[in-house]
Formats: sequence, C-alpha cells, structure tokens
Amino acid sequence: MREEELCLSFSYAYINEEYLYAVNSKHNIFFRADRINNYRTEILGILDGFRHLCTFFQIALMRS
Amino acid sequence: MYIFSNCSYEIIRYDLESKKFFHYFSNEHKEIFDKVHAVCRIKNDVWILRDIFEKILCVFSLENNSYSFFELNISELLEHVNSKNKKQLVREKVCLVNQKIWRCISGTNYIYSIDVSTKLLRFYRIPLDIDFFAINYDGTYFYLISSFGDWVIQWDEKKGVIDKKNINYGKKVYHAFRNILCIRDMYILLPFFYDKMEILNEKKENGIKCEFPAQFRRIYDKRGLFFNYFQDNERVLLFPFAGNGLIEIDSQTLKTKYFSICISRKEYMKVQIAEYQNLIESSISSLDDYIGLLVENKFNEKVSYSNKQRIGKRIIRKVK
Repeated sequence: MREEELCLSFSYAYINEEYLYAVNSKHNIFFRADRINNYRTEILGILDGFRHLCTFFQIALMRS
Repeated sequence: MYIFSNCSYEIIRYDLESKKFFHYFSNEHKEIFDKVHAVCRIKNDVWILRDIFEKILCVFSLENNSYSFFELNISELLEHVNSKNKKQLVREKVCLVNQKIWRCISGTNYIYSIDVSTKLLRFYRIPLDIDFFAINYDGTYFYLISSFGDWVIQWDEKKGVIDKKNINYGKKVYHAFRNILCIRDMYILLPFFYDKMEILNEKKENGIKCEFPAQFRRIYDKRGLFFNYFQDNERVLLFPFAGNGLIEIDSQTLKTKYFSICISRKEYMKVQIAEYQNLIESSISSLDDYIGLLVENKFNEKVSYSNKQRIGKRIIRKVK
C-alpha cells in the first residue's frame, strides 16, 4: 500500500460475478470493485453524511 | 442493497439503478448503543441482532422499509448463563435453520434458537466441558468450534452430540478460529490471525493444508488479524484488518489468491467534498465544522491535534 492510498479494511462485502461491493470501516466509504477488470474501484458514496448518533456503517450489504 | 449500521438501527439503502441513497432511522429504542452483532435476512425481513443478552430485538421490513420491535424472554436463559463478563463476538455469524435463528453464546457451552414466527427463545446446553466460540450449519448438522480452536463438535437438535473431534493433535499452542465452514466433504477453519498461516481442511484424512498467498505473506505483518469473512457459494473471502487486500479461497481447489484494491486519498477527498456540498444546512452548523471535517479526513491520524488546528485555522482565514 502506498502513502497516497487509503487503508480500506473492508468490514463487510457483497460479491457477485462482476463486482465486490464493500464498506470501509474507517472512512465509511461505500465502493465497488470490478472483479473482471482486476478489481478496479469506484466510490459509490461516503456514508458519513448520514451519520446519526456517531454511527459507523459497517455491517452488511444485501440485495433487496 | 442495504447497509446496516453497527451501533444503531440506522440503515442505508443504495439503489443500484438510480445510484441514490435512502436513509432510515428509528426513534424507538435509540438509547441502545451496543454493537449490532449480526443481521439475518428471512424472506423480506431483516433481523438485527445485538448482544445475546439484549432483550429488545429489531426487525426491519425490506418490503415497506419499516421497523418493528419486540421483547425476547431471556429470563430463563439468564438463570443458566451468567451475562457478566460475556463478550459476544462482533460480526458474529448466525445460522438460519428451519425458520429458527441459531446463535452460539461465546465462551459457554450453550447455544440458543429464536423461532422466527413465534419469537420464542429456546436454549440448549452441550453436555461437554468445552467453551464454544462459533456455530455453523452444513445442511444436516450444526458444527461448533471451541474457544481455543481445539475441538469441533457435530451436533443435532434432536440427537444431541453426534461427533467430537480434537483438532489440536496434542499441540500445546492453541489457535483461535473465527468460524468453521462446511463445504462438501470438508470443513475449513477460518483463522483469526495471520500467524496461523494455513487453513485446515480437517474432514479429509490427514487434513489438507491451504497456505496463504505469497504476496499476502510478504505484505502483511504476522501480528494482524482478519476483520471479517464472507462466503459466497464456492468462494470464501477473508478481509485482513488494516490493508487494501482480500484473500479469495476457492473451496474446490483450496487455492488462495490475493487481490488488492486501491482508493487514493485524492479520489476520496474529491467525492467527500462533492457530498458535503449536498448536505442539508443543519448537518454542519458552522464553517469551522466544515473545515474541521475536511482537515480531519485529509490528514487523518498522522498529524497531531495542534497541527490540525493550525492548518484548519489557516484554511478558514483563506476562505474568509
């Protein structure tokens, strides 16, 4: 890991053939990594904005 | 796709098509701050499970995005199991079998089930002098792993203990395992720490050893631990704590691969600034708050508190 990268520590993930969806426990980044293209990542959102009562989002992802 | 908070009943829904977030929060029982240990989906309901000794249970309906709460009768359980000093594993895995949620009371020889329809709790004492740590189900039997990682017990609700296997082979050093996965004719013992550099396949004769990838061993310190794991059909993913990688174990071949995922600080800042602009005004009461958040996130723990303050003040001066 290089200096300019974030330490991600996925707290939970959902995986399908194409993507790995995960939440990072420290920065609350919700991102997906493209499994076909060597885990290229895309940030879908940062969940801090939703924070209520000092919550950290890090439990589960699932299909609705 | 739903994301559950680990210390409140807050939930976020992410719509994969519209790429929008929806936020849910219940004002009921918001005084409970202990960690959410597991979530369990049963049809269109998600059960949010806290500590074993927490009476209030929350169920979130995915159909109408609403909360409901009920009180579990745990008084009889408390007569048998002392709730003091019992620390339940966070990111615990529970089993859903025959419309019952099964949990292991870590550090004891008790397990319990909650009937999803009647909401009744029933507990079982495993008649062995072993403390258990985690439970899993292979479609026929339950498997329990001991706290010291030295025993695996095969158990059935009606028949009781079916099999008891020592997996420590007389060694005096114990390794804690996070859980046991039952796949086909083998079980994989999922490690807690990196120093246990192999995952054992114990069901087969002599056990097959499955090594962590060389790249992973090169990068990670032996003292670290795995944050969590995730099972998806024939694949098992292990997430190391403090790092950008994940290990994928193919349960067919037992081959392991290491993958690295990278998000740059710059990219993170870009998204964060864009998101803060969309925040409602009441979320940030002053410019100081806004700058504080940005500085906090940008410099993280590497910069001391006084430095952060100094940098923050300088930014405020420039903005003003």
